[in-house]
Amino acid sequence: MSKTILIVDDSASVRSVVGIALRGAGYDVIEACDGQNALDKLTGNKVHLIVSDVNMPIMDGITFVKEVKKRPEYKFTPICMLTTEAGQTMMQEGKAAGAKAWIVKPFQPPKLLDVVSKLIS
Amino acid sequence: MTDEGLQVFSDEAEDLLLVAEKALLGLDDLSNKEETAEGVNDLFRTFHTIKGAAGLFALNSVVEFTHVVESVLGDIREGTLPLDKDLVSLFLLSRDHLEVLVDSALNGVVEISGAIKTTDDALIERLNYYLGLNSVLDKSTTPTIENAEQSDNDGVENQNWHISLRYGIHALSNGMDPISFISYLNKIGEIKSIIIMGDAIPVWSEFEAENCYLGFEIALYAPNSNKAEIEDVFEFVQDDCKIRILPPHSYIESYIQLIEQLPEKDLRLGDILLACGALTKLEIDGVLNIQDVMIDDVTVSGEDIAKSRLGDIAVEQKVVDQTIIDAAINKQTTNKLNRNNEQQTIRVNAGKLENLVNLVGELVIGTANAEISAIRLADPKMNEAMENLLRLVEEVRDTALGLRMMPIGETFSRFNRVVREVSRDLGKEIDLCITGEDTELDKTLIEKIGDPLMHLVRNAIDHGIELPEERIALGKPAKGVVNLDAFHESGSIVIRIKDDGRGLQKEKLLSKALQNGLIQEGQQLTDQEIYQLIFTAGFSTADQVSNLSGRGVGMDVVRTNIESLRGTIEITSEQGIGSSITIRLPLTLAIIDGFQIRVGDGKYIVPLDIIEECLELDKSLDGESKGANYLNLRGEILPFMYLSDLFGEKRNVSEGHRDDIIVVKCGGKKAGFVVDELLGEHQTVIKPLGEIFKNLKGISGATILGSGEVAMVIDTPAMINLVINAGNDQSVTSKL
Amino acid sequence: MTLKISQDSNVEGLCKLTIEDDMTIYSINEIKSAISHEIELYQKFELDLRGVEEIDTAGIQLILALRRELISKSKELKISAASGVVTKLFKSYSINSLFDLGDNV
Repeated sequence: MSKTILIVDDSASVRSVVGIALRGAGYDVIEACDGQNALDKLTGNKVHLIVSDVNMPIMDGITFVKEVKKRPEYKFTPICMLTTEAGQTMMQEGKAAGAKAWIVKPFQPPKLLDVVSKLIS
Repeated sequence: MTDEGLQVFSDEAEDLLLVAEKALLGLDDLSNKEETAEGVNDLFRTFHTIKGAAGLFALNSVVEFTHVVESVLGDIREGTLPLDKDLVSLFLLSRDHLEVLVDSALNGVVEISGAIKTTDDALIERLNYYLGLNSVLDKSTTPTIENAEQSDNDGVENQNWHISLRYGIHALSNGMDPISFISYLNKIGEIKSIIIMGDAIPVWSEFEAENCYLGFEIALYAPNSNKAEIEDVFEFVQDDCKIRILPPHSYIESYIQLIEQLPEKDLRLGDILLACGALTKLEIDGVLNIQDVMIDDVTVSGEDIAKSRLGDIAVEQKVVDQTIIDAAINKQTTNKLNRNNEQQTIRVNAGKLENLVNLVGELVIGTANAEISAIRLADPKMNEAMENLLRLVEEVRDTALGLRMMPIGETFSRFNRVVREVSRDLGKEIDLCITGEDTELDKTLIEKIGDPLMHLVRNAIDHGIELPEERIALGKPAKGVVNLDAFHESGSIVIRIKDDGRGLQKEKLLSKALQNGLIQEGQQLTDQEIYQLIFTAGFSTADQVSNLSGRGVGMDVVRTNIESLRGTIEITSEQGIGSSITIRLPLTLAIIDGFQIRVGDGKYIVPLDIIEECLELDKSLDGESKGANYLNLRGEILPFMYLSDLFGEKRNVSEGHRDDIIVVKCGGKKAGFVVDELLGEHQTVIKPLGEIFKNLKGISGATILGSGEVAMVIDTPAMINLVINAGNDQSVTSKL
Repeated sequence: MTLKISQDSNVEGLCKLTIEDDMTIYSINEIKSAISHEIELYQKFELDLRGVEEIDTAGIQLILALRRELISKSKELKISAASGVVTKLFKSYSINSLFDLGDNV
């Protein structure tokens, strides 16, 4: 059974490239463009990993993580944040909210695949 | 990595640069704090997004420049740097420069040079000025990693890394499953042995299953890795796990230290290290002797436990190596298989697809035009060629439209889990029975129908299906059934959700509606009207509000959603037997097989697949049913209407004029339209009507005929309702 | 997750626990509390994990905890059948021989 990853980023090209890389590695991918959209798309789907940007319109990544942790059917799902090198405080906030893994932007697909296989291999 | 990805980036960058420009130009009144803060936020996010995306494609010139701009914007956002007019114009210059950078990067320029480079340097210098220049040094050199601990001689024999992990209580609930990290070790080396340490698991009554009590002792053969690389594997669990790593051939003292640090009893650890192959028997004896001298806590019982476990451990070890290698190989092959599957589909930009469909539409109109000319020419060769062409165009049309079609199965299968979980939560037993998952519909429809469907399914489970005891008492099987079905019917997609639950309770609905003031006392409602009440905003009959439904929000949203897709929703229900909700959606489509008719001077199109038959209107019958808009169609009552009345055209009453009636059927309802002339089949490209015509009842679009004339496309479901209601009104008035 | 608890009619005091679908952290508490009732009642336990489609370390930990509890009460735990995913995870942790899970299930 292939595993499903939810990728949340407001950038279409990040979603596209990440999507291609992950699908190429045999994962199923659900794409969402912000936290609210991601919550909507989670519903009813089984997701093994969530990769989320922090800075997004409508609902930012931190709020999104907190929301996910409130949902009994998703609260144990590993979450990986996409942060910036400048975003130390964001990263701490994300960790406190429950996102224990992170990737520093800008990154390239191999780095992402690497992190993904660390989290759900 | 992909040209396709680059294309998306190019489009996105273009959009974002536009957004940035707009945001910058919006910063004209810096005294308006709120607006300015918002603008800065937008700008920051825009540059941030461009940087992130460019990084994915290793467009370094873009990344480096954007990074500096983003940093300055970050300072402004944090309030440590005030924004002034000079900065705004510097950002504008930066934005323009970024546009140039993106262009050149997309054209394959790896390293910028010449004028671009000069501008780049100048702008970075000016931006850095605001950053206090510190950031130039920010790109710190990566620290060099040394393996100081790793010694070539004087160490133990073990050529493997020894990794000792003790997970914290929250590791599992944080989603950090140890198995993932451990499997990952196989990427940088080879796990020679692994021992799971369950010593910290408390007695059953105190055991919290979501907590993590585990530890691991791992021997990893990774001659080409350094300590930092191995530490990196556990990067994300640093907070959740105590990690101790000993390089190959470490000094015996390091192991002694390790044993001291670990929570388990020394003797047991000695066995573990032996079993792991970390230390030889001789080395262990040495270590434990030292320990004995140092600490005197090795009790007899402790020794017993350790010995009794040694057996387990020894057996455990036999299979490790091979299985883990197998697992790794398995994974690789499945990856390859998936990759092959991937190549069978191509992701296409939705805009391109839309463009194609539009062009095919034009093509259809073009051929219709050519056909008219061909008929006029009356050249047999030409006609034959034309026929051939028409057939091909029709195929092209169907194929093009088919590109957007997707089976609904994926959406349906989502519900399996929902039903399982929701029914478990409610203590109900429910089977979900799915049929018609191959039914195809337009991609946008699929996306939009998911949520309403989810709501309806949940409702069926929550309100419809009774509890098992209740069902048994009623003589029904304990397990309820929810059917989910999709099929095509006369040009629409029908999705049906059916349950064998208690059905809608009319009295309950009525009393609730009275209570809410939705209806008046004594008002007579048909069953259908009563059922439709549940789609009214703020209507809920659940006595007990569960967290699934019963809050009275939702059903009205469901209806609105479906109507916005030009669909209809209908309920049938039988008390005690079950309910069935039928959603009917248009096949979408920009192009349909239409049937052309003439009413007065106007030409109209009716979708061909809903036409049941065409008849000549029997004047004597008409006379007979004068006053009432009904006619007797082979014993069936058929409401009908003169379209000429409806469209404000004059009825043709001249002698010898023949009125035709077309019988249409949609959503189980039949009606007749009286028209002046039947013109025959016509491939119709539906053009949406402008805003002004939005409220026009009975017309869903327009089309251009081959001759260049405009014809209106009749919105049949709406029109049928119009005919039936007109009939009802009339019958009511005639009764009065 | 579904859990079936049944008493073996042939063997006195044998409790059969059949777990299906998922044995992950999401369902693990439920399994634990269901089993808790039975621990005192029987002498031998048999786990049928043939229908387990998904298992994670929380699942493994539960089995280890159960095993320890039963051993401490001189009771027995056996795994009578296991699905591929279960066996694979047991092997990854190299505890398959602890439960007599063969190499080729």
